Amino acid sequence: MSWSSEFRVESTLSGIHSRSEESVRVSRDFDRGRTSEKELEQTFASDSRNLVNLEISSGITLVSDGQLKWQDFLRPFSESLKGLKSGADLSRWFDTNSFYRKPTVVGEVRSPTGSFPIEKYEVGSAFPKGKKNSVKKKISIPGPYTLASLVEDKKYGSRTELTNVFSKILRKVIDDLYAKGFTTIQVNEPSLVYRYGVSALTNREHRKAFIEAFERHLSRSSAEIILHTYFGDCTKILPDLVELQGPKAIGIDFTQTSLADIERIKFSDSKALACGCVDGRNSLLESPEWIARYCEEAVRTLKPSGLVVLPSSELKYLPRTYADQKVRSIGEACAALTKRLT
Amino acid sequence: MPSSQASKESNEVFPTQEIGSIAKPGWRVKGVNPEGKILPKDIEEAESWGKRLGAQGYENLIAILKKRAKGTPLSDGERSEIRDYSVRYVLALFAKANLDRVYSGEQWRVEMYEHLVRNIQGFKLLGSVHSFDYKYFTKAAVVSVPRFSHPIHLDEFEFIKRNTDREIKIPITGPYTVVDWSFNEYYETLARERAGDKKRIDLRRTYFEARRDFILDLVKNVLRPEVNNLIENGAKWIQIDEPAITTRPDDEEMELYVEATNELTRGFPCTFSVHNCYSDYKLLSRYAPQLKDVTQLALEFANRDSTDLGLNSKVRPGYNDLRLFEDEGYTGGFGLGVTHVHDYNGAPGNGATLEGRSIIESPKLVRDRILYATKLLRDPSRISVNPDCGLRTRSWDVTFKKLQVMDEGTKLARAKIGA
Repeated sequence: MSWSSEFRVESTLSGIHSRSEESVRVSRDFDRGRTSEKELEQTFASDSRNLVNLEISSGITLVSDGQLKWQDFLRPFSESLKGLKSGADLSRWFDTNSFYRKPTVVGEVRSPTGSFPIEKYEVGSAFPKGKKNSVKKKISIPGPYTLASLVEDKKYGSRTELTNVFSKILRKVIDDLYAKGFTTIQVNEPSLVYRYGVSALTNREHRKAFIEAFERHLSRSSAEIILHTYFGDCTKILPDLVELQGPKAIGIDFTQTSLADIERIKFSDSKALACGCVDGRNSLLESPEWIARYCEEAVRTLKPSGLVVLPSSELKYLPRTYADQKVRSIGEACAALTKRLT
Repeated sequence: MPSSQASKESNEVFPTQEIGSIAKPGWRVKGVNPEGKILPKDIEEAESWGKRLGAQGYENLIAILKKRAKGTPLSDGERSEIRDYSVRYVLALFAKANLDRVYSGEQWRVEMYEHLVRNIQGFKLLGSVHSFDYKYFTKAAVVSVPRFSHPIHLDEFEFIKRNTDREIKIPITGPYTVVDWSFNEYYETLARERAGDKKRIDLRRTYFEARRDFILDLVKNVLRPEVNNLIENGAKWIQIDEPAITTRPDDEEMELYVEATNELTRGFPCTFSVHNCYSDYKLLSRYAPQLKDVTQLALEFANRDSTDLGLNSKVRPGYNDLRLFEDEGYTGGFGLGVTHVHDYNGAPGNGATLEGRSIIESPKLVRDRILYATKLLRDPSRISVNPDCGLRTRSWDVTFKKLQVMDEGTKLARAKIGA
């Protein structure tokens, strides 16, 4: 179903979810040599199943396993792509109190032999089996500009060139993921709008390179792509994004971007709005009614062709109880909005 | 006073110091927990380190642990004694490694952030949040105006005073880090209420003002009374731990950090240092000269350095950042991080060896790092020597080796400059 044929409302998570207190306990024990890898795997599997069940029962329509096994958002890529080395040094993940191991580009970056090994990082058993119970599987991956911005480049010497390289590789990754049942891929691009340091907000050449690379390599992906921007105000770059060929939905972090500032920018007939109005970094809980009202106002203002309700960012920055409560509220808001807007 | 903790008066250059936490031994963790199960290996560990360090009265600790191992419940007093022994062990470890400035290895504290917020009115602990790999921290929300209700570090400080006559440097978690690591429920709600139904809200300004209100209340209501209390009871040196500085790398945030720190230290007769690590020193260096009462910056450098021996900028890239501070006009001292504290991946250079996931620096590597820093700063009296950060992710064996190496390397550096 295309976003342009009829207005539809979806809901989803934005990436890595918060690990449960049980997963925290067992993984700490594993780290200290007090428990086995098998127990760790079983704990993550159970954790992911619980999350998927929560998503389904809450009415989340694009279902993710929570990506709980991802040690950081770049790790599956630094461990799988040729030419990348998983780094030893810890680097801060944007302006959060979480860290990632900065990958180093040590040679020509290429796709792994065979398909992208998502099985290593995914809890496949978390999703219900059988056609009757099938759900729309969704996964979030880092976008080409964010990858190019966050690696230590010892090979290319150019972020624009790297953006193109990663775009090409991500096309193959997305096709592999689609073949494995992920019909929606959320491409997260925090670096596009991050307000500190060099970003595509301030550097026109970077912005141009991103647009060209995305359209060249990712515009005809088999999967439905949600391009999500967060950790920054997207006002300056949004006019380019709503015209971008490829993504079916454009995501906005409304904890950073004021709706009033972008009211003159209109989405095209074929672009949905991914409305990140649920704060992924604050424990204050938004009510389903508040979320629904905010999304309705955003739809009235920006006139998108569809709507995805989602958190502003990954929910891994919250303790699990709070992250789960936000999932419930998003699902409930999505159900209410489906009735009101479709 | 046990023999291993003999008095140490040091007027030498390059005084050595610890930074913060040391791993809690298994017997400490399980012994303090009423449900904890003490195993034979825990008793062996306590006994072997007790002997090795000459820890005063360790035989009594062993007796308590053996009692618990047999299944007998321990009294509150006995569990407190176990905790106290872990501090005595740490002090003995530091003494054996010849450190000049010491504290408790934070054995009395749950964790640097959690310990503080647990003891302040106005915070609510919400649960665990991922930091990296399999590391997490407990995060709290500020739900009302923070209030001081009781001294937070005083008992710990008094205990340490009674158990060492080395110079004491008390670490406290700084206001910027507490604010940055907490959910700002109370002040953001107020800020949103103030904004009301206005359609055009400057979100950035709203959140920033909420952070500013939070940090200034925290300093005024809680941290200044706490610092005052410590000083009135004899504290001479307080280290303000601020790992979160530069998390939000812009001028407005750095100005807020400086404002909060200057307000915290204002008018107190005490030496203040700041510890920061894994940070943006280019940004920090621009603001360091504005810290009015801070006389030392204890920073991580080994993590960003090579492990080859030598005294040139190519093999000592980690320490070139000292130039940034010099160029910005900072004239204070440095706590120079000379040993790495986390897992180490890759092959070490000719100045270190690998032991499991830890790198063990050689004394010569420590020496070269100190001498290179001395060359850049042109004044050895500005340098104290320490690990990059707390060593709590390392085993006691590795910690002890690293501290001994630090001591030996410091002696080599002193000899080299004829001090």
